[in-house]
Amino acid sequence: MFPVKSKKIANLKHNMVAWLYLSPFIVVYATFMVYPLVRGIQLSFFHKTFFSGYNFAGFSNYIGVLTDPVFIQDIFNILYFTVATVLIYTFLSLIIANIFNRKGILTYIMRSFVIAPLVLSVSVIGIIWQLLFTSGPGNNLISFIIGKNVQVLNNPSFAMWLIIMATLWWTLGSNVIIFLAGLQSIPSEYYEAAKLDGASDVRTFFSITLPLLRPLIIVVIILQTIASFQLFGQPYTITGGGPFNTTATPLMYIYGYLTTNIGFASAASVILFLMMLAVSFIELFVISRRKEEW
Amino acid sequence: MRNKNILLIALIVFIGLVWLVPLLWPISTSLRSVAAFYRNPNLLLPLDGITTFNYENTISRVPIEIWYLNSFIVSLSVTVVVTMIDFLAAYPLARMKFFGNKFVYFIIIAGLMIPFTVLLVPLYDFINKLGLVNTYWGIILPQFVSPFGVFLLRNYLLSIPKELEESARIDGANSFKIAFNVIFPNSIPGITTVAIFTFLGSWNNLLWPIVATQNPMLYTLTAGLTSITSVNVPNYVTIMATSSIIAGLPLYLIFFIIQKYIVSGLSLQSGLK
Repeated sequence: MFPVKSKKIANLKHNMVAWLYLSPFIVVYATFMVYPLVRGIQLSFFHKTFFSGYNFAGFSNYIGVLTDPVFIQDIFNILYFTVATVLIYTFLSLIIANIFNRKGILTYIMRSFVIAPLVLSVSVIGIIWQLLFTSGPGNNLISFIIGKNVQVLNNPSFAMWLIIMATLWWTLGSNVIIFLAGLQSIPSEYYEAAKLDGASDVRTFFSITLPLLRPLIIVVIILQTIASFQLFGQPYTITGGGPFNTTATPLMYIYGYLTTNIGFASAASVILFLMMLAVSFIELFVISRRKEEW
Repeated sequence: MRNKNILLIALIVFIGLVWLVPLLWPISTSLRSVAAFYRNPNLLLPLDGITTFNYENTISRVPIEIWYLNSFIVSLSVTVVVTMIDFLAAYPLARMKFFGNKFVYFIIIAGLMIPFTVLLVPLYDFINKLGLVNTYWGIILPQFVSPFGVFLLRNYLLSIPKELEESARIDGANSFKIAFNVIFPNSIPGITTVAIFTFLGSWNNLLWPIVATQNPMLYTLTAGLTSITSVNVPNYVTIMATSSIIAGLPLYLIFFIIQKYIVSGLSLQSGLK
């Protein structure tokens, strides 16, 4: 009887020690993550003005947000941005990772140039890319490439592409790193066997590299989607959402209503969150269904 | 084969240089005189003479040293607290069997999927009610939560061999001593990775500081840079280019030292290791 009891006490003590270690994290997690999550959903059903307190508003915030043409346009803008970045960045980083997948100091240095902008803040990125296209050679270069004169920042069909380009320069490195790590984890025997069988480089890429990188491609697509949906800093610093609201995003919309109409802003963020979840699940579903074809 | 190699190396150098060019222009602009800049704004290298005028002018017109200081205050406190809290949480999750282990781990993974977007509005409401708007605490406190750090550290701690711990236990060390004298020194690379990611995340955070404070003297560097407008400074273009270099270049250079931690952190994030 006695040894069993002391074992129980020791076990209880052991459990308590573990929870003691966890307690600081649990406190901040509950305070700054769980509570705001619940509170945000609650706020989205209330209307708060400067003078009155919180009044229950039912779904009126949601209806208000969803019937606001500005918000709808912001949603279209963000979908455009997300589709473009997911397709272009995934494809491009896959290619660049393959090109950079070799040893040597020169490759290492050049690769560092591609990754380094990751550590810069969005304000620095924003200033550089805004200045390049207001006072620098940016417009001349683009005009030269497409063969007609454009002012990118004032042009509704080009402004979002400037955001896409600046974001590419800033963040492509993280995808490249993930794919490079993936490539380096593929056993070299596979490639040697393919070489013996006389497979071409292109064939090897599609038959060995791509199928083995599939899990990572899914990860990159999902991470890219989640990051793209939260686009804020680049349009905030480069275009201010213009011209004609063509680069404005839902997060900028939420930011705009934050101090004036908190229930409205909450409803918009819940809608944005649900959209992010839905799109991520659709992507996951579509990519896993295509498994047989790869 | 040889030709193919040369072509590949040429391509590698080309891509690297394409990535470098957007940075050359603001560096060049910051080093040229205002008059020279307006004569030819497109130079990628300061071929027509170098001056420090833009740097002196920027530092006297823009409170960039105050923003730097604020960024250090905010990012350092966030980094120290997050690293400590996350290590303490990762230790039992990786090294102890206890009631609720799997459940807590699940909650942390769930936290990884909650975007800041959905927390922004209620967090503002929260710190507003606490009276912390326009204070350092308001900027710092909500950044203390980092499930990613726990996730990363837990994975790192799992890779430390059990024998290290057992020999310490035989010598009579308690769990506190094991955590700090055995596990902690052996997890320095993991802790460094978490510290670097936390520091960079906090340093580069734009949205939260501009929400939590409207006082430009409390702005972090990232927030402050966006508050400069052509209305409040003359020679806007050269001052902005110079500000971006003063703010960006030190981090850009530090990157080359900390590169391996960034690479390992991102690989861990993708679930590769």
